[in-house]
Amino acid sequence: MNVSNVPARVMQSVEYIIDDMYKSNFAESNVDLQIDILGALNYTTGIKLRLSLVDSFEDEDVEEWKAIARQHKASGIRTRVNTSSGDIHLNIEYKGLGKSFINKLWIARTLLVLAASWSYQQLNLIQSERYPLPTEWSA
Amino acid sequence: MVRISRPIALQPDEQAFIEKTLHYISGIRGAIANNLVLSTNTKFPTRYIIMVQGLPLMSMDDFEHILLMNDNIRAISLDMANETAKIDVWRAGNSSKHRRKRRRHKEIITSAYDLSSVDKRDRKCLAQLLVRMNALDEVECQFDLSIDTSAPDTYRLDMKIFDHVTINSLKKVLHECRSFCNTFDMDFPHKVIRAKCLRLAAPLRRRRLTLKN
Repeated sequence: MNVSNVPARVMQSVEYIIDDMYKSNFAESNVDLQIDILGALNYTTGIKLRLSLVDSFEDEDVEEWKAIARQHKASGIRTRVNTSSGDIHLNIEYKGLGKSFINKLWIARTLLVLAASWSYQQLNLIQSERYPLPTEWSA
Repeated sequence: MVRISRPIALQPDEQAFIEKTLHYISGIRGAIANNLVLSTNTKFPTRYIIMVQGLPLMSMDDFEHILLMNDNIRAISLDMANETAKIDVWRAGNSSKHRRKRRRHKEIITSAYDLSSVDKRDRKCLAQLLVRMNALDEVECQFDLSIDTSAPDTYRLDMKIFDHVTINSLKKVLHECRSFCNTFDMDFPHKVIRAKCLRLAAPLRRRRLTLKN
């Protein structure tokens, strides 16, 4: 019953991020690290990850995760540490993607209007009496 | 010099509350007493946490009864994915502290659900319920939803929520949607929160009180 709103390129990007996190310095110091995809975020485009079996992490590790995320076109990450369970929840957010889709739509619409006006101008050049320019409509 | 902090011993009334809670849960229909796993975290100076695993299907009333058993309960949070309930209780003398909770305001909800199997008149109500569930502070992930439309007067919504949810938040949603949503059932064995929602077209059933001799 869910309508997935996670674009395929986001899923691809998240997979690259997970691969890079397994290769990172953080994973080298936490050899049993396990990264699971919990699900899609409901407040923006993105994915929630759970990092489990983590011994310790530092500021540099968070910076490293941010750098990996940015490298794969994510706009940012949010981290939450649950000290009871020892899990780290990582929200990978892609804030700009929705807007870029709208921009593409508007670009396509603009191109259509330009093409229509250019073709009308060509018709005007061929038969100016039948296809007058808008400036001549009132006359 | 190394100091190791030890758990702070529970008071007799706190131990009694834990025992009574377990006794109550094991008495719920469908509960298997041997499957219940209790863990406690008593390291905090002002509160202690009880975590119960292996829970049966529980209703909001069941949690209401647990809340009634102790005035110092801070929160009850449910983790449906791991089939656990966590009861966070203030220690004696610490219950009056009011702490401001950090809130993350969601500007937009991006979750979308296919309600095509639902009657057109009821879609608005169900969509409202789903929006309110998604808007909860603790729910960050989109949850899986399946709707059973087989009953003539109600819909059964099975929500597979991956985040922790507190009973207070669920009560808030239930209050906001009380015109069409009756109750939430926490089906721990199936890892779903089940909502029963009335069909708008269905007539209301009259409650009958039957007295038995």
